[in-house]
Amino acid sequence: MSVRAVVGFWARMAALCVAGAGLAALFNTLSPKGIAWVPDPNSGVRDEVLREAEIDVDHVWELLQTGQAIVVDARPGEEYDDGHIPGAINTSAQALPGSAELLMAQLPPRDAMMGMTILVYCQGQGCVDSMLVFDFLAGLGYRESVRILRGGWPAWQDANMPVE
Amino acid sequence: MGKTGWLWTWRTLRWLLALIFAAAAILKLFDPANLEIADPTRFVGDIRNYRLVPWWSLHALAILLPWIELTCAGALVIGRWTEEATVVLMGFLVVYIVGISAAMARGLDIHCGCFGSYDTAPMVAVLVRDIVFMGIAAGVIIANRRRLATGRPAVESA
Repeated sequence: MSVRAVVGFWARMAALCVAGAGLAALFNTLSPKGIAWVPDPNSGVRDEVLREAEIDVDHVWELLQTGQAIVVDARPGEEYDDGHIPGAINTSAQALPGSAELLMAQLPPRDAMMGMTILVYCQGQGCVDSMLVFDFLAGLGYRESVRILRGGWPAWQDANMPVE
Repeated sequence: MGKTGWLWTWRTLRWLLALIFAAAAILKLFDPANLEIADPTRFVGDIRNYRLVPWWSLHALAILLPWIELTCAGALVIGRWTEEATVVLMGFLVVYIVGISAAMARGLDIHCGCFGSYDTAPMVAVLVRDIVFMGIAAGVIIANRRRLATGRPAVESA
């Protein structure tokens, strides 16, 4: 294979990628669900941001005992039905924003949280569903009140905590 | 196998590869259950779970990947630049195989997101599936070379 043929091959591969990128940019611009090319640095896609918001099972238990937490189960409805933290509201991340109706009805206004914590959990450590609900609530102005259960649902079960 | 045999092997394999990647791309872009455009943040989350790329690249990858897959699938369907498209897709498959293997080695249990958010296949199955896809991609290139090597090149019609 000559150098010219190799260069031509790579150029055609690059052309395919550029064509795809052009279509992607067009679709993302026109789509009502288009997203920024670079995420917000305060978004839950950053591990550091989610890690800072994590609290462990014992802390969650204390909050529940004192009635200072609104618990949000971000898993799909079927998994919620199989068992969840007592009192948790199912807000399936896969069906946002429609699935948040019940949660929104129970949330106090963001300037009246009075130390209340919104605790979010899903299938495991660092799972996508908690991240999506975290960003959804952050977008509504509740960022400072949202906490994530470290280890998610398995951590709750492993600690033999009550299940509803 | 004669020229016609290699021609049909090449056609079948490239159409199969095109079908696989077109399906993968479309299921990332559109939500078949709700018949609407899929929420790209779910795919962002799926890529993030591999813990292989920096956070600032996640949105760009989620925007670009399905459309590059779809463009390459289109090239395979129409029969133009088929080897180039196949090599690009093989590059993706190498990245996916490495990513899944690395995630498994670190004990992560994640959804691959390869065929949209409804793709909940176990990681071992995803790894095997990607290796099979890699075999199909290699088959496209081998069949094309054999087809061209056995006498006068056949008409490159789709």
